[in-house]
Amino acid sequence: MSAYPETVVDKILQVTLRSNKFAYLAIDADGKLVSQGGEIAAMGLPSWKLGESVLEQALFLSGYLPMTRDYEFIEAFEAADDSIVDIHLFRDQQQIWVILVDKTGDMEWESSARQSANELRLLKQQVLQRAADDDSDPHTQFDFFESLNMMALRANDDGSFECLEPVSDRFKRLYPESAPSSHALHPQERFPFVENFLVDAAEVWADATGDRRIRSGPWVERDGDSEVALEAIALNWKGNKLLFLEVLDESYRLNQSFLQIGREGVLLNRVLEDEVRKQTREIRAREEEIALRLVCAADSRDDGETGSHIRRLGLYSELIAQHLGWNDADAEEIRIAAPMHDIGKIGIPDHILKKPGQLTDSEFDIMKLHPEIGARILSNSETPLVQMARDICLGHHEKWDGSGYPRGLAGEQIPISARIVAIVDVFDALIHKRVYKREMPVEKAIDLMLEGRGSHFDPQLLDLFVRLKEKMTEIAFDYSNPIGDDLSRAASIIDDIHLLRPGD
Amino acid sequence: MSKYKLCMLGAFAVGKTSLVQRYVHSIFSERYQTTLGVKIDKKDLQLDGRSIEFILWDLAGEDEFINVRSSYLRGSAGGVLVADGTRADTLDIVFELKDKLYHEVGEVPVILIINKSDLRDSWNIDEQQIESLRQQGWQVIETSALDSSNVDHAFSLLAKQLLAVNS
Repeated sequence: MSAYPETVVDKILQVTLRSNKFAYLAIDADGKLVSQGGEIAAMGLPSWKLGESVLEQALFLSGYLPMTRDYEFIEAFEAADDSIVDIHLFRDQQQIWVILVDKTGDMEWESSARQSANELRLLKQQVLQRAADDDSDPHTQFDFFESLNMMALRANDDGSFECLEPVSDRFKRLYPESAPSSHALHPQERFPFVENFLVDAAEVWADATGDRRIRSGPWVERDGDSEVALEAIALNWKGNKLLFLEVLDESYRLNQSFLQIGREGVLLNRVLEDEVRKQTREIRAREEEIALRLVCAADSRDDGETGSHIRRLGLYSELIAQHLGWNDADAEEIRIAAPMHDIGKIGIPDHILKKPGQLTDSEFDIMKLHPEIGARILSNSETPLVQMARDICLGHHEKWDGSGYPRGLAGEQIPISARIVAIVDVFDALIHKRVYKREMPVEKAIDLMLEGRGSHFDPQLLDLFVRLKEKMTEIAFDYSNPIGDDLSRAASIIDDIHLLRPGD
Repeated sequence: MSKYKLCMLGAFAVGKTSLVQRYVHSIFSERYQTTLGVKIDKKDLQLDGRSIEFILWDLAGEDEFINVRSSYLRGSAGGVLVADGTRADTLDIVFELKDKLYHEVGEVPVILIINKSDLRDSWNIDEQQIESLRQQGWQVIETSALDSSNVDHAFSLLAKQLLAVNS
């Protein structure tokens, strides 16, 4: 059980425990029970075992799995035993939380209240009719709507409203004009929200099929220094255009609590995710810096390589990875791993590595050992980054047609990370000046590399590389010394150490 | 007196209710309390010798739990779109809500408030983005409901736009 849903569940339970029976289940995406709690038996739920699928007996779930949103709410679901439950579904990374809140009592009360209200309205109409017939006092007092904290109004054709019942003290405070209930009222003037709602209400009232109703959703008005939540309900009842204004009180607070819990959970999750991202970035940056400094130090013995070359190699490789659709983490990994491609040169003697002229066959045979030396340095790691660096080390001198070294791998036998680095390593070497050669123009370098398409280089990767040549060129010239003087200084310190070492 | 319905729109927890509380009642509460449905408030002001009444519809923030009902936008004379400077993704929701508002009532005057300037060190909406929004024609105001900076100014700017459009 993860920390986040426990918090959410705890909070929800705190709210629901106050007034309702509840139960909760945690299920996986296939509907298998992961954990459960609350009043499972009292709510008539089956005694599922952990790992068992609950879908068969909780059929409502099948309509919501797989969940497309983080939260779903099924209001007043009627279970097989005639109980009524509200069902809240929360999703997190591991599981789906199903919170069942028994609303049977509430619904029975509401249903009976509304039935009574209808009966009273009928009675009131009869009384009014009789009063009109008898010419006697029409103001019969009913206190039912007062007890419901609801104000009942009937729309007149001129846009005014007639108050059907005496209003409660609370409504009188909110809506002072309603106090003498005999005169025409204009609640739309007092409550802008009602004015807006009357547009929707008019559609309901105009519906000849009758017996339709809509709810406005909650709105909040100021009541002195406090706030009061209300809802409007428009009802077309046998041609009567009825408007009810209801104070929501507890139901508003309960729904607000649910929403608040959900949102606080989301905010908390975001804060945690941001923190994890920030720390991951910092760790990555640290890893990258250490890797670059070490690689730079190792490469400092090779006059042909520079700190900026290895930095660029990482950036070119990352660009290709991104265009291959790799995820951010993998693309970042190749950016850090690619610079380690020549780390094995640390094991090549200076007289070969630093030889200004052409190498003899035997010297070249020794030089060709550097991929394997590098791979050995990086072997037996469980870190994906180091594993990728090892693949690159070992494979960046392999060729697509199998004529490369050290193992003569061909085609897709060569790890893709190594095939990428093989391309960008050659490109960067060609277009930059070294002590033993002049730089080559980008176009000429690419033409030369295209000669190796399908023999030296993976043809599809090379095509992608060529498509990205403008961005590659930008990297080539924007990052002439991106890791800064510190690395040069580090390299020079390493050189000094070499100079001081006895026997060198 | 000219009456204008203004809708406060934005993602949840960006500070819409706090801005209204600050603007109308000059108070601020540190405690985040989510809005369910709509909170209605009114504010009278005088501008250029004219009396204005704002009817502020503070709508529940949009997120995966709640969608702003289009019917609530009906009749809006303008919109106060609010983003949280510390959460760049709240800008995306602002853009969606502006489209929703325009779809419902046409191109009414709007301002974009980037709130929580008191937490500027934690902002991840940068000056460049804000400048780019201004160049796209957005009237962007950086506010803090906590210390009240620019809150009155933001609503006054919108009032001026409304008077100009409706004069």
